[in-house]
Order: sequence, then C-alpha cells, then structure tokens
Amino acid sequence: MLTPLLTHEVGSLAKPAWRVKTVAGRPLDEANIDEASIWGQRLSVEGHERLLELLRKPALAATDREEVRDWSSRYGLRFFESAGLDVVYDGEQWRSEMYAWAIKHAGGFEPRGSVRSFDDKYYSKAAATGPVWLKAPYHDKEYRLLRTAAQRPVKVPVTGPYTLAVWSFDERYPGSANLATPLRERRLLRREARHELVLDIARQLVRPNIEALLQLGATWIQIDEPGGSTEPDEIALMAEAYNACVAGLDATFSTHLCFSDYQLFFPGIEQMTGCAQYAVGFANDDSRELGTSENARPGYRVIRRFRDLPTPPALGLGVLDIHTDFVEPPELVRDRVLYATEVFGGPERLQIMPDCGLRTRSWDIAYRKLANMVAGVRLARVALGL
Amino acid sequence: MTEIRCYLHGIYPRSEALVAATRDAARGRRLAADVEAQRRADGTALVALQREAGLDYVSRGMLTWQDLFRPLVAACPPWTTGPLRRWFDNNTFARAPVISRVAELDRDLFAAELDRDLLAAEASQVGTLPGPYTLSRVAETCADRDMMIGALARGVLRPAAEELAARGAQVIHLQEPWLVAHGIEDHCWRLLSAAIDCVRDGLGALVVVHTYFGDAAPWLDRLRALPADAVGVDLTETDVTALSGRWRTGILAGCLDGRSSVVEDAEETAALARRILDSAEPLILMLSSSCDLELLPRAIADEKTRLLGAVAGLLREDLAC
Repeated sequence: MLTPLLTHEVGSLAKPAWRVKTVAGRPLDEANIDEASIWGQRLSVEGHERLLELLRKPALAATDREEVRDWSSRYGLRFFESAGLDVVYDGEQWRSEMYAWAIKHAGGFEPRGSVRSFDDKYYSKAAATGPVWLKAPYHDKEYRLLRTAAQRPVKVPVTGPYTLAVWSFDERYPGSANLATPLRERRLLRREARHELVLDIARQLVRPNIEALLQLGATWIQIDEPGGSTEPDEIALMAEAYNACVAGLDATFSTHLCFSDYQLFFPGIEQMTGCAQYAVGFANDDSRELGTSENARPGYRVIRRFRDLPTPPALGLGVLDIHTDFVEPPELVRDRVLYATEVFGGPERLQIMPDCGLRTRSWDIAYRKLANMVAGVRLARVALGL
Repeated sequence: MTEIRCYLHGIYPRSEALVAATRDAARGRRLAADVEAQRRADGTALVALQREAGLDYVSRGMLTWQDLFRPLVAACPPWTTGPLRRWFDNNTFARAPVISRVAELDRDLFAAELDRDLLAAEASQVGTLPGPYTLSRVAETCADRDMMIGALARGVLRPAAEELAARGAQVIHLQEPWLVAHGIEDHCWRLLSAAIDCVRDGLGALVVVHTYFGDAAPWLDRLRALPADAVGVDLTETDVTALSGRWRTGILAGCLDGRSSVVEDAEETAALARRILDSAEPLILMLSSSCDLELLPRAIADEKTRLLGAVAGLLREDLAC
C-alpha cells in the first residue's frame, strides 16, 4: 500500500458554504448554489444535479440535510481524486472538527468553551469529567459511503488518544489544584491523571472506534496526533496509547504529526509498534527557494531522524504549507521530494502529502496546491528515472 | 507592612460571541464593523468585571492581539511574522517574529496598534509586553541572541513601555516564560538585568518580570536581584516554599492556574498567599494568574477573575486585623 512517492491527503478540507449553511439551518443564497454547481461540474461529481435540487428546496427536512452532508462527502472525495492523489478521503466533511467530533461521541466529557488555537482560530474545548466510553462509532457512516463511492484507495484519519487528552481539560482529579500541596506531589498526581486519561481514551474510545472501521473493511487508518509533542516528556505516553489503539489489529496503521519541534519525538516514538508511516509536516518551516541542497531545504533537515528509526517506517513528507495561500510551484515540490530522496537513499520509503489538513484554505487554493503537488511528484519521478 | 495588589495580565480570552463574530467575518458572513462592535462589548464587560471584582489595576485584555508579539512586529517594519510555533507546552501557537535586525520601534505604528485596543476610550492600567530574554529566544533570527537582549530593550521595549505608560499603564508586565521553561545561561543574567533596568529606569510605572510555564525555584536568587518592582512566579510549577527568604523586590504570585478549568478555592488560595507573606515578607505582593488567562474559555476566566478579587479581599481583611 505504501508505494514509493504515493500521494495522499492528510485530513480536513474546508466545508463548502452550502454544506455549512444547510446543516446549520441557515438560508442559502444563489452564490452558494452556484458554487455547488461549479464544483460539481469541475470535479465531475456524478448526479450532483440532485444536490442542486435539494439546495433549491424552500425548506429542508432532517433527511435532506443528511443527504447534503453525504453530497459534501462525495464532493470532498472527488476533490482529492480530481486533483490526482493516489489515496483519498473526503476532507472530513461529515465531522464538525477533528477534536469536537470525537468528543461529541464520547461519554465522560463536557463542553467548556472556545480557546484560541492560533491567530483568530479557536477550538471548542471540553473537560474530561468521568469515565470515558464510546457512545457510538463515529466514523462508520462516512466510511460506508466512501468505501463504495471512492474510485481510489481510501485512508481513514482518526484523531489520536493523546491529542484528545491533551486538548481537553481534566477535571477528574481536581485534587491536584491546591497549590499549597508540595510541587512534587502535584506533579506526580498530574502525571498519573494524564496517563490514566490518555489510556482510557485509547482503550475505551479510539480503539473500539477503529475496530468498528476495520469491521466495515477499512484497511489504512491514520491516527492523528497533532498534539503529540505538547509535553515533550510525554512522548512515550503517546506511543503507549498508540500501541493500545492498534495492538493485534490487522490493517495498515500510520500516524500524523505536525507543527512541532520534531526533535522532541526522538527517541520516544521508537516505542510505537506497527506504525507503517509517519506523516509529518515540514513545508511550514522550509524556504520557498528552489534547490536540493541541505541549505536550500532548512525545513527538512530533521527527516534524517525519521530515516534512522529502527523499524524502519515510511515517511509521509509534507510538502505544502497549509497556513498560507502561496501555491507551491511543482518545481518546489519536486526539489523537496528530491532532497528527501537523497537523504533517504531512494524514494522507496517516501510518500508525499500536504503538511496537514487544508481546512483553513479555500477550495480553489487547496485544489491548486494539491494539483501542483501531484505535478511536482511527477517531475521528481522523471528526475529519478522512475 | 506588605501591600496587596491584584490584576490581570496578558491576553484575556474572547467571548463566545466575539469568537463567532470573528469566524463569521473571516467567512464573509459578517461585517468587520460587527466584529469591532463585539470587541468593544467584550472590552467593556471585561473592565466592568475587574472593577466589580475589586482588582487594583484594570486591563483591557489585549483583545486585538493575536499573540504576544504581533503588534510589536507590526510596529517594527523590518520585522515580519514567521511560522507558527507551539506556545511552550500548550495547544496554542504563536507566530515567531522574524527579526532580520534589531530595529527601533516605530512609535506611531505602535500607537496605532494600541489605539485599536482602546476603542472604548478606557485606558489599560496594565501593559503587557514580551520580556527581552524571551523575545530574544523566540525570534527567528541569525543575529546574536545575547546581544539582542539589550538592543531589544533599548530599541523596542522601552519605547513600547513609554507608549503604554503614556496611555495610562501603571504596571508594565514583562512576560518571561522562556527563562523558566528552558533556562538561562549564567552570562545572560547580567544582560537581562541591564535590559530590565533600561525598561524601568524613570519610566513612571511599576515593572514586573513574570516567569511562568516552569519552575522558578532554581533561578530565584538571581530573579530577586533583578532591578524590577516585582518578580512573578508561576505557583502551578513552583513550590511555594521556594519563595521563602528575603526579597528586595515585590512578588507577583501566579496563584490561579491559567491552564486549568478547575476554579480554585478562595480560602485555599488566600492561605497560599499568606504563606508567602509570612515566609518572604515582600514589600508588595501582587496576586494574579500563573499565565495569561487566554488559555481558558471566557466564562471560566471570568470566574477566576472574580476569585482573584475575592482572594485579595480576604488577605486585606487579614492584614487589617
């Protein structure tokens, strides 16, 4: 499955206005319907006229709104396929957001409010308040649709247990809040509480959700841990939780890490067993200048550490900066790929992807970025004689 | 006798309404003017909350600031915003300033940034800035970071502090998380001390150097020798017993956990502060949060703000007896 220079997405894609408004019960304007029409044609979404009919209805029933979500999923799927990616998903169109969606389907959490992630971007943060449990598998519905609709292999992104824990408040052990308690004791309590919460989420929430996906036929699960390096002394805990999610299960498992000082992951991630690929964002830290030398590619210097992992796993090489509208030219993608190929001694263990999900970019920008990524990989293949 | 003060520092969380307005505006669903109106409402409510809680200095909450560095970057034209960097061990990211060279702060540009934050015509009595050491370490730069400490203080932080003081700031709060989160080399203390002196000398406002996100205990002997009016300590990461001994400066006790949704108990927190009074006898004891309350949802931050005033009230009652 992890063939050399295979291209794939990482996760989320912006939700079209027609999907957002419909699900929220807000009225659409003509521009929203035009957008659905234009992208339906551009992506060759078969039968999208049915979506336009739905969107023109004066009032939508609950079943209609569900159908609109399905259409959003189909559009996301075709978006990636049309851009030329080898492995696809739907841009998480069914999910509210990678954290909120999982928490919504988990028992033992309560919403607390919005907290800034960066710039003007906020996320809804919850608190763990009791035993964690899975209310119902939360990716089944989308996967059922995608496994039949997809024209290319699919990879299911699943938010990882460490990230779910570290993005939540923990109110299960408020006893550590009294600051008169000696620091050593408080730290011990905090560490134990974190360990218990992370593993509870892994065993009681994420793993049963993954098992449900595997029963439906999923073959590649990507466990997303963007919060992985939040506390550098907990990398081993992230690895332990990953293992708890996948141990004994039969599928391709990979993980996604982003926006971190990646040096912090070593050697902790060596304890992750059965991780076939580390999908990691690098373009965010790289230069936009062309070149394949060490100096030309400052964002990629750390990839040696991934090369030297003992297993040895593949590396999902992030080549698109998802936080900017700058559309990477194919030649820049090519040079990033060629540099990595040189470091890895060949392309066998490399797959190519954006740094992270593209949900903060418009569809137009995201599409152009992805199309250039595919074109850049094509150039790299030529340069490598593949 | 020790004076008790309390105030909020740093960036305060935006209300759910402001978060929604900002999100809607970014998606073209609402006008920028609506966002500004909501921001004014947030600011007004925050000021009212602090007055009601009995805080000694009122902060405007830096509701326009996207991170601790952005207005300074905007006011130093050669600087640019860099890539997202994790803000220490939090799920929040800041854009590291890219400092090609240490520039002079453009006061007009900085004033324009501040005036965006003062739309309700209410002065902020607290001005928060990055500390010179943290700024020199967070920056993306090829320059000599040690040399930057003093140059940043002279060229950027002092003029910024003057602008803040001219607009009513009575406290200049310098945030120095790097110092305790990652440590500081011995030779940098002299540079930091000179930099703090440069910001504070003749400023006409109190200067507080606040360390957080790490244990201050290993550095306390050096911290309390800094030429600051008070040194801030994050008590979620520092044992209160480490503060005992003679203090030449005041102490800012970061006694409310800015990263926990659990709201502290007022009596327990007052008892903690009493231990500092008894063991350190600082001239001034300032009570605040361990770090900015920005890492909490607004409703929880509001509860902690009320608690802050209540704790100060309990301490003052004690001292009056």
